[in-house]
Amino acid sequence: MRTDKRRMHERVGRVFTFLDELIVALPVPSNHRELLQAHLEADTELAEVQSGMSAVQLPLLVHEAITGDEGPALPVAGACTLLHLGADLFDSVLDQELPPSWHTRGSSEASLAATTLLAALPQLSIAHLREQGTPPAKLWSLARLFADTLLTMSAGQYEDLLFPNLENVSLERSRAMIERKSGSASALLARSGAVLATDDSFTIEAYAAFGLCFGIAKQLINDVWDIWGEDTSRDLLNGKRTLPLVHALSTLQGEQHQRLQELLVAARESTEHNDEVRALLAAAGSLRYTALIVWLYQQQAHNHLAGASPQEPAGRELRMLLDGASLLPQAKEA
Amino acid sequence: MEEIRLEALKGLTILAIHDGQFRRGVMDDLEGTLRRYGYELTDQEMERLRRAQMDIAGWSDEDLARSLREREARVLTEEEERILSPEQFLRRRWRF
Repeated sequence: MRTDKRRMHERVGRVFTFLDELIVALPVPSNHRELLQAHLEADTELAEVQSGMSAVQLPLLVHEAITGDEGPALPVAGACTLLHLGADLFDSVLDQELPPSWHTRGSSEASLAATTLLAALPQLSIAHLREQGTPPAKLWSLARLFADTLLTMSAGQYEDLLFPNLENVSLERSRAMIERKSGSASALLARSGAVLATDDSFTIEAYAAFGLCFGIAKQLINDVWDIWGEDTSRDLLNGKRTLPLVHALSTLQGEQHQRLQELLVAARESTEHNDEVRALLAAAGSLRYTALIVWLYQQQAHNHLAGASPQEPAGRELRMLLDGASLLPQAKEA
Repeated sequence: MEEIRLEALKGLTILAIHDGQFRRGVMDDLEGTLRRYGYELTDQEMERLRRAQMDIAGWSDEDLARSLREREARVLTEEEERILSPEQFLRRRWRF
């Protein structure tokens, strides 16, 4: 276990060193380069603390699980990490919670950096694969994969922004939005490592499906954490319709349903009713329901991973990451 | 332990999303609900599903929320606090 943690930490170091070199070599004015470097430095420290970062780990682990060697996938992991950092920075701008390192620069500069990280730099990172003799057809497949995924993520994000203005959102629509917004991004992390490693479509699809299910499970945990993990829920303030809320609205009847609708309107202005919202979600069993859905996706991901027959020790590390994606108390807590 | 077949897991997920009666029944009467919906699981698959259902149904929402907070709670190091506030740090825990 300690060896696995150390290997995860080392991967973060390798990928962020690669990205630092990529940004240093960019043909841009020095102040623009500094803008990108500032964000990379702040996120390097964050990534080292949170060494399980999927955008770093999944592409490298999947490549190693197929070929026995993670090294060739470094530019792909770099591209995935850039896309992730850009999307995360955009989220922070939209949610008005930029990290302290951005406070002196502001949201306009952050938006510009996010656009560059999302759109331009992943392609430049993938271009490094030419140096190791990757065929042009595979480079094009990877470039197309990133473009397709960004489009799907954007569609999911847009739907997420529209939900607060809709009267009714069904559980299926909420699930589909999560699949587009978060599942597709996680599928990319696994699929890109697999595409570089093999031409076998069964193996590629198995890893992509693993990543998709893992990403959905993680997003649902994130949604639960927002409501129950903190005093102030950003999702309630932003009027989001996350799966636990949609479940409660679909389950509660009569006065309780009406009251929850009133509280969700009030929660956009003030946090004073958040505890009452949580009480109504508990009455609907919405956290337990979400825990069930997370479990079902986690099990599907395990199944897809087993079907891909990963080599060890990468397979063990992938299973370890997946085991953490659960809302159920650990055995020792029960 | 034996994994549940992928097709069964997909079917259960679809029902849990689309069917209100299934959602209510699966927590209160797992085996009866699966029988009514025509599910045929092996003994090992049934045992795995039963354990998961007991794990989930055996906790209240309040217990699950408390357990999640305890699991994620940690004292940030000086280095971590310099990067993010404690609230931002925890919020980002599952975004990465």
